Amino acid sequence: MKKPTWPLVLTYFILLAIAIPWYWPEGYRETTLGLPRWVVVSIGASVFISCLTAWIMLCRWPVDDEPEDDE
Amino acid sequence: MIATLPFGPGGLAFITLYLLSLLALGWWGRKARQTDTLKDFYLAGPGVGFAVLLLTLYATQWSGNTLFGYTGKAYREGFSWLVSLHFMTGLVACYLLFAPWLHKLAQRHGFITPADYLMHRFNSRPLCLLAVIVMIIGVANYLLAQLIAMGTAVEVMLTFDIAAGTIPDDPATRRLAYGAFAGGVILLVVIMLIYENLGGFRAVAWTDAIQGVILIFGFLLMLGLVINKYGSPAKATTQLIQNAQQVEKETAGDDSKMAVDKRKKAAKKIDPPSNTSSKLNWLSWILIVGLGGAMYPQAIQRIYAARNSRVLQRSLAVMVFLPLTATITALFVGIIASTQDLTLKNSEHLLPAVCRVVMDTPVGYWLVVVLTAAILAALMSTADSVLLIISAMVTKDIYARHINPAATESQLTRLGKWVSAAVVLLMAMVAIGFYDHRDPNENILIVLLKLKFEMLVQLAPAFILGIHFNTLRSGPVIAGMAAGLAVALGLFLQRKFGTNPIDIYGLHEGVIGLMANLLVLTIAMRMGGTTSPLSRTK
Repeated sequence: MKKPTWPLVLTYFILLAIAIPWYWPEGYRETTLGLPRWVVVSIGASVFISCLTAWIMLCRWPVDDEPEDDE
Repeated sequence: MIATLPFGPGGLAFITLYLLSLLALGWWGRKARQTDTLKDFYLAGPGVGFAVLLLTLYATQWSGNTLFGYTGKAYREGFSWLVSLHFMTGLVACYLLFAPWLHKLAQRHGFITPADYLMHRFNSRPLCLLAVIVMIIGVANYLLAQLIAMGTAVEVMLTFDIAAGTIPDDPATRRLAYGAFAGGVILLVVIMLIYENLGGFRAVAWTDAIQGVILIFGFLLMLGLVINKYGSPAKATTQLIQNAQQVEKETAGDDSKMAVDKRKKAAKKIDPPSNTSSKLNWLSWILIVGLGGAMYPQAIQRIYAARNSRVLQRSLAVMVFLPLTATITALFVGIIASTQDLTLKNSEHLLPAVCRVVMDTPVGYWLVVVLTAAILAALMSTADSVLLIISAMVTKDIYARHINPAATESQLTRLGKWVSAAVVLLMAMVAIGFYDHRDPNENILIVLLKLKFEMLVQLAPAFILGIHFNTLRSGPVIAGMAAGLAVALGLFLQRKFGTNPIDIYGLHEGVIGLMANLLVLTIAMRMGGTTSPLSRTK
């Protein structure tokens, strides 16, 4: 049975909303690991987006494999 | 005073060896040729495997712009250029919207160019012609930009004066600089043309693989050099915070335009985006590069060239992590350098300036030699891929489809090689002709270079919606594409040259064009019905 795609789309939207630093107060300058905290959070979200995308590529590729090599 | 040539015989021998290895790969590509067909020349016959596909995708997508432009942009804008990480990741994620289906169709129907898919799907010659023109204009500009960057790279490496932060303006250095620029363009173009015409896609993909490896090393090297010389990103962060606080203290209570601009500039380098316009600008960047970059015809050609879907899956799954190394490296290099007093007149001179500074030790010298090879690799790997796809589109989509449908595969392959030569020589002449007119503020053609994504993104509905909505017809797609192009171009030109530009709240013209594109497409679909017996999604 085909798995629904909406949870994946929703996860992308949530990660994108975290990655874009729209929600930080103006002039926020706290640091984490020596870098601005908003930068660390944004990079963290990007890592999750990459992991999610790689997982979809490897495990949820939306097109069935066909024996293309045999042509 | 003429600056001395920074590379000694050892460094020049290394660069020469690297360039000769590209020619050798071209020759091997020719030896590996199986048949004299378009599919063999433009897609390497049965296609390429995981490692080559990954590296050719990587080297093609990461151009000279990443090395020069992104470091320069981070130098000017600080952490706000972190958006580059997201749009480059978004670009790979956007492939999920169409690449799996497109690859399967390409394998089944033997597509060679992006327009082959459009012809198969919509059976409309006007739509294909419009799409091909958009793609050729978009990527021809890109090719020109790479050639100008090649000449500039050679020119800057040979004549840049670190103390002055620019190229000295005396007649002797000016002559040397022009000679270096023109010579650099011609030499690299000739090498590229030889290996490409010898081995076609095989040679381009194999040289891209070498260039991709050098590029990955080059990026890491660049960061290592900068951290070693100037300190860590954490140190730069502290410095930027202190700078912003210092500026705020100095200009406190001063509401003059100069003081406000100074405060904004210092804060922008370290603070998160503060107003609606800059927040929307982040989203807009992700959309325009994510969708527009996924429409690069040379990238679509690589989707076709994957040997099978497993190869494509694995390559894209690794590629999605590469922005975490490349863009973050470019970002940190620019940010660290921005805390130094380099007094650069042109931020794109940042990289050569850093190179000239670190070259004073033997280790630094050799690292810069490898980095120079990486810069050439970044430029050539993008330029050769663009050249090959332009050749394929002119030959197959224009000549074979509209002028001489009876041409044989062998004739078309031969013609494709002549097209490559003609296009690249023309572009080299234009690049050299632009030597004194490279300032984007004065040259309309250079301004148009920036239109690449604004144009390519208008193709997204044809490819993505075309894959998923089997009721979509060619008429609404053409209407939407034309409307999107008109809106994007109109807004772009009025912003560049209008006296009172419309405020578009940080959005790119191409994104607004895409909204117009989708709106017109939807209206046209509702007005004209949606079914077409000639539309095929299988």
